[in-house]
Amino acid sequence: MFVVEFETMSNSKLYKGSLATIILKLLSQQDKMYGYEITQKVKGLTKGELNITEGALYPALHKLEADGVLEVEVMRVDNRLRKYYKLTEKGEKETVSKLAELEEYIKNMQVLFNPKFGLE
Amino acid sequence: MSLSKEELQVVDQHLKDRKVENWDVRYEIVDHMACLIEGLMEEGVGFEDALAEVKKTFTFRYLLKMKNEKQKVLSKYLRRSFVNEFKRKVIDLNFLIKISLLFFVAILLYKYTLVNTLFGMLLLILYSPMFFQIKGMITNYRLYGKSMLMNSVWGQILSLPSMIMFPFYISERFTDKYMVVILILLLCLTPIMLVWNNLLLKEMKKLKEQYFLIYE
Repeated sequence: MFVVEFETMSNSKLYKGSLATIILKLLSQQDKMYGYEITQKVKGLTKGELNITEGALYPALHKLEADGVLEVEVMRVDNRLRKYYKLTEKGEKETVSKLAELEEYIKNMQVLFNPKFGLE
Repeated sequence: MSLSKEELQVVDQHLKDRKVENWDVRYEIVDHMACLIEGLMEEGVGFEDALAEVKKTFTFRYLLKMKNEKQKVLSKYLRRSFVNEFKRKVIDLNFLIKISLLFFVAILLYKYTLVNTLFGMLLLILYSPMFFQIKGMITNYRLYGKSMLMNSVWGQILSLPSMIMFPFYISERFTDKYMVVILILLLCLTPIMLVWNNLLLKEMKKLKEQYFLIYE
């Protein structure tokens, strides 16, 4: 099975640019999520093909939090503290624009790489 | 299957040993590592073996990278917030009155007289609450981590001139030339210091609210 890890594989650069969008998309579908849950969700949805490492996920989450896109809620779960992330109002708007941007990008890539109408 | 308090302490100690001091980062990583360990334990692996396996990922270098990334984000965020806060303060009447008062007092204190000393006392009263803030910052050091404390200390160092300058104002040991330089330095630093201190206190309050569970 071809597993893409955000930090180690060279072609992960393509995915790395989309990490924030992936996080925003997941959070738009669920009220709040914590780090480990996000990694598992992505792994599950991609049937294990996409593996987000902690070293890539947490800096992305912290950056989105600092940008005011995400807000944090700390809860006590199983004897420990758990940091949940959820979208802010700004984050909801950001998600819509990021998804539209990604959709446009995919559409353009499809046009460019489609053997019938593309570069070839 | 959930980890016991003792097992969680072992995980936490691993991070402490690797100098992950910032609570904000450490609690998050402890939770993540605990989830991974619990996953392995559900497959029948013992705690010690599961911990050893998870530790392979969370090496010193890996944690250092995560810490540095967090520091970068935090510094960038603080710089951006400072600029925004400064822009807001520049049009804030209360802030402008405070600064104008300081300028006025500083000019009056240029030469030592009894009246000037009284104004100096007023200056001292105006600024003294800021110096008690450092106590709170040190108390909360563990919550914010070394980086946040250092930022606070720099804020306090910037505020020091206003206090240190007071004896100089009433001292005749300094020549006029030095006094002018010191006065200009003080007046330039004061608004920056005030905004910086306010910002850090606001950030610390926010973090404390997020982690209120620790204080329970």
